[in-house]
Amino acid sequence: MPNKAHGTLGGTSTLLACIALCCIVSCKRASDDPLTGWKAISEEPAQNAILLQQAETSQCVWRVAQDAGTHSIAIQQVAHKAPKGHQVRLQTETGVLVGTDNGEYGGGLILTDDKGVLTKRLLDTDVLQLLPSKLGVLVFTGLLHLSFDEGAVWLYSKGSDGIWSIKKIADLNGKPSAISSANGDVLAVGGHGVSRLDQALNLTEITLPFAQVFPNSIAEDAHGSIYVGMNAFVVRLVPAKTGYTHEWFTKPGCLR
Amino acid sequence: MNASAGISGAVQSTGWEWGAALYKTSDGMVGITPLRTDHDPGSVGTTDYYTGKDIPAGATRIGDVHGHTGINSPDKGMHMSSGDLGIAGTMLKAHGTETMYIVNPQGQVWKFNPATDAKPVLLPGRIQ
Repeated sequence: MPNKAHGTLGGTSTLLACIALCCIVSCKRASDDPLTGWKAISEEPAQNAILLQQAETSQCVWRVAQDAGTHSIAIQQVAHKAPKGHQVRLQTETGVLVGTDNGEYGGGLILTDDKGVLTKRLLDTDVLQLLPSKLGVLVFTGLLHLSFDEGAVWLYSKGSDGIWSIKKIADLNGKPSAISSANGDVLAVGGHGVSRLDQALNLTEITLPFAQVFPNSIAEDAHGSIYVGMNAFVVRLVPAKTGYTHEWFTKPGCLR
Repeated sequence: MNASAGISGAVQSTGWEWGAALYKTSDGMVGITPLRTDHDPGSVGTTDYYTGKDIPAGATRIGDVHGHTGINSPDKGMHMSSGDLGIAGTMLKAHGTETMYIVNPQGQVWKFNPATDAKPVLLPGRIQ
């Protein structure tokens, strides 16, 4: 009997310990979830004209990013900025790459020496982002103006003959509005969805109706879930057996 | 001119470009889509043209109108940009017709139809 009682007590203790552990794990997961406390939207906003209109005029602008230290996803409320011209720079072994984006007024990609003197003009198009990769420098370009919406990714790399050159890797589905390097791949988001460029430069695209929700940022967590920050909403794309499931979130007061 | 006035006000109050698409209905009425912005001082998409949701069913897109901020522009946004002129030609090919209007930061309105105009035409008057 004592043994049985002890066994029962032991079983109870084990059960309590398990419950406590589960609580700790659950709490940890909840605290790791950047969308804890957010309100889930059951309906895809693209299917709801009222939600889209509210998002278009919403004062909530959410930006997502992966924390460099913890690799967790951070979400911040930001303001729409009026950038005074966009310039990106990257040091390479051939010099400094300087990309400019002036929207309808054009842009370009040039190579300069260490004193900033032009040595070569590489592209005559708006340059949005320069990212180093194993194969060279990835150059993202694009323009959305009037009814023109184009984007592309290029590779500036050294050939087997030792000469550096630039070539187009792929056209994108419209101008990317945000680009980030995550988990070895590059993610881009624009009005028509998300593009992933893997380390072998294979491009895959997820078509999503983002044109009216102004995506401004994209990040991927360690589990492969993709977060997109936009007007009024944050959308989380969770890997599924085929593709991704879409989870839309907002905060009180963002839709009115 | 009414659309230009609305665009000019929106541009001045936000520092972003605003624009809209122009269309013609089957009975010949000319209309304009709601003004929109991409929160950018250097460009604006004039409609979600992938769905064409803002253009009524049966109507034809005939042009665009947008306002310049003057930011990052070599001419302070006073004239049609290289992007405007190039896209006007692209739109003409895509839709068979294109008349583009811009409102500059001084309230002047320029018109350009790549099928009939050798260069942009400054319309009389000024948006106040």
